[in-house]
Amino acid sequence: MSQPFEITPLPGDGGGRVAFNGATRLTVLEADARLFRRRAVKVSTTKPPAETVLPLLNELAGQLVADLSIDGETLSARLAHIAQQIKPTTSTQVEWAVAELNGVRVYFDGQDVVVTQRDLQP
Amino acid sequence: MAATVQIVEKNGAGGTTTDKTSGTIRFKNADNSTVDLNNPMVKPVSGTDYSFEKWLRLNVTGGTYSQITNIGAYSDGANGLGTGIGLFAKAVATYATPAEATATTGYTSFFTYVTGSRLSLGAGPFTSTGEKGDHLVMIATVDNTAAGGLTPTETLTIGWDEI
Repeated sequence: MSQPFEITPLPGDGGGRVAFNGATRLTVLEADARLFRRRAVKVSTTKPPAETVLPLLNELAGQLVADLSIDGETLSARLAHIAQQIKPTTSTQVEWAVAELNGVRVYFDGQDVVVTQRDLQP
Repeated sequence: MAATVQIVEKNGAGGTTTDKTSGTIRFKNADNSTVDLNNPMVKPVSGTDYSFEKWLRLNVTGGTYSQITNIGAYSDGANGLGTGIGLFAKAVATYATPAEATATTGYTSFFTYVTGSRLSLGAGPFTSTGEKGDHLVMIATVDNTAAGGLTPTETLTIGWDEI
């Protein structure tokens, strides 16, 4: 996820606001427009890496105990295969800046902009 | 600066909380938040095996914000858990010790809740720190038609608006 959006009033008395994530800005000028963050956390039933790797390590350990003469190249390849089963942890938090004016919404995730009247969710 | 938010799982009579924001939820036949292979759900010879309830809630631990509104939970709309495995949900205001479900009465299939039709966990507005909105109470079911083994991954999303 990019940096969180900070929403602050625009300088002056026009009632406008700006959402800024340190790199890009989404600005509303009208005082009657809405500007807010739409956030979400994604929780999964994913197996933790240890649960994926443990059976493979157990299998390998059993084979090593049964035959310690395994050559280095084969052992290295087996360990590399196990390491490849570990999936990188991805971000589970999502944040958009949303501007709404006269029923039209602008959704901005820091990179992409969607303009719609739909009520989109991350 | 935004609110600092967790998704917590609550267990036991006192509702002990465990941060699951970056973690895994394991449906099992016991009331605990541990991700292990103990107390697994079992494919029954006939009928359905019901998990213990999972009580989840949004918890604001800090940060700077004015108010949180429009809390809701939803899925991707597709049951990726496999044949004979279900996931059901409901919103409950007051915590109760998680119990083993015996039926899906009062629940709705979680996969019917999607981005355009979320399970509302409270309109708000909510302010300050602490747990906010209703609890998301979920159960998993395993029918005798299910395949054995660990199920594929599913993801649930809890979203909210914030200013």
